[in-house]
Amino acid sequence: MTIVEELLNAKAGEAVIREVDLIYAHDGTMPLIIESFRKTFTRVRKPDRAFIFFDHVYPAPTVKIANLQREIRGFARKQGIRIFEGYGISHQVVPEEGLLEGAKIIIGADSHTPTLGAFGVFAVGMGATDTAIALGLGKTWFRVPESVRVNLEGRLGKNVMAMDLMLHLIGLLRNFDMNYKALEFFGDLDFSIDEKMTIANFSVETNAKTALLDNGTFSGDGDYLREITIDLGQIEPLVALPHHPSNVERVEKVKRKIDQVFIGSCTNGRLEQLRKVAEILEGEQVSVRTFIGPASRKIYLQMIKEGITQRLIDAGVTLLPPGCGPCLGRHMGVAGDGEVILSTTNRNFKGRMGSPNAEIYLASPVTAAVSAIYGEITNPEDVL
Amino acid sequence: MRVWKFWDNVSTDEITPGRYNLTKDPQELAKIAFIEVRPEFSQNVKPRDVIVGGRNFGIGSSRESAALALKASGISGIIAKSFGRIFYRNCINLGIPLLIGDTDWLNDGDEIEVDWKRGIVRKGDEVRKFKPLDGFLFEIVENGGIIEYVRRRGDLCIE
Repeated sequence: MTIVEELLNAKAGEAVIREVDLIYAHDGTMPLIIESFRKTFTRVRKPDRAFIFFDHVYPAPTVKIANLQREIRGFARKQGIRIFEGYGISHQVVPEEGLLEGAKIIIGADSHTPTLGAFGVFAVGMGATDTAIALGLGKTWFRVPESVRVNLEGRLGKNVMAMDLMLHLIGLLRNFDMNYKALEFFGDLDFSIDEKMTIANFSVETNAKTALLDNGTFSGDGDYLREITIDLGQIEPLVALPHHPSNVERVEKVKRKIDQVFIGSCTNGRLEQLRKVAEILEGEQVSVRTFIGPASRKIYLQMIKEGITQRLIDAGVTLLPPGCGPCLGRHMGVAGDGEVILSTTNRNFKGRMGSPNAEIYLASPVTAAVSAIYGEITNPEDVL
Repeated sequence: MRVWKFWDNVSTDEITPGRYNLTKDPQELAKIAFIEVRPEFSQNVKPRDVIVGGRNFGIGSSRESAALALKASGISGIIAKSFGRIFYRNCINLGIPLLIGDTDWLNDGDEIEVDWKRGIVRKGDEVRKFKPLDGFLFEIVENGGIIEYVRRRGDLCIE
């Protein structure tokens, strides 16, 4: 069986109804969930297995958003659902706060919910109405996806990160239809959990329904649609050009002057990644505006303890509060017309981070940090 | 039914961009549909018009406002080579019919007739067959969305 088949206890292609062990949503998707929920339900079935995170546009920058957040608080209070305000990004806080305990099937009202696949659980993103149904009934329907198996071999080079691996993989899958299918990773998974979460997170951009990393308990002997083997030692620093994450090029081929750098998000805002960034920026000065946002409050605290915040501020970085930051173009560093942004996030769609006339390039935290120093997209292999 | 033809990989960031997507009111959302990449859409779309996409229509963010904005614009359904999966479920849940198949022969401004249930598209003398939604999914659409479907049945079940 594939990992997905083991977790859903059904064969690929079947449509099944399953109890959901954990349901979560955020300030961006919750207002429409409440709207849908109220049309047919009055009580959340399992309020102790449902959680809300304020991470997308928090603290509220406008009255309109403040009022939507008030409404969410009212709903949560009435239903007995816990809200995590200011803790950071949902996908980071769920495992950090121990909410994954005992959960095998998870849905989140956010497309990057498969980030939790790093822990070997079946986690998928859903829209507002699907989430409302799951809150009301405690279950939902799934079509069991077929899986593509990715075998990793060897080790990444010193200046190469999980983000580069994923840019490499999305490039490989550019002409392969991953819609409604899952990615399963096996082999040399000798990564920190921080980097494993990057792998699962970025898998979403291949159009995969979800991604799972073998945690040693799965057989992986199922019928896979396709197998891909990647030699990690061969991967070089890569960058995604506007306006799609699969538009991948080797960093050294892209000499582009940049206006802004953002390092953070559910893709690359964890401790291991920010430690590397601080190592690079220590004693240096960024030459373009650079925003760095930790994925969670706990990460932020640890950064302070390790002296990372000091080193970043000394290098001229503007630190952002824990959360999604400028990734989705609503606040804290929105892209202006014609600006060039280098970001460690997962999406460079037209208009994603602000102006539709801005260019968004995606790269690893290491590449973003050296590029922030030189003011243009720079190959870390050339300077580190 | 007029065809509104779109390109490959239309993301939900293009359908309802994050910085405009600050409401849950369907009529307000209809006004911001494609506001940056095709601003004439919301002004000129007529009830029962059809959106036609290429590969991966509706990829990206899970925001249901994208599907809700298109529903509120009055379109009768969406035809594409493939759909982003969350957007696909969102459309079904809101009662928007979808067809999957080749769309290269459909052009912007074409007048077509669509039988969503049987998956038949007619343009002039040309008639082509598409993959319609599976039984269970079309039933949800016919009921006006999954909320209505669950309300009528009192539960979620697959027969």
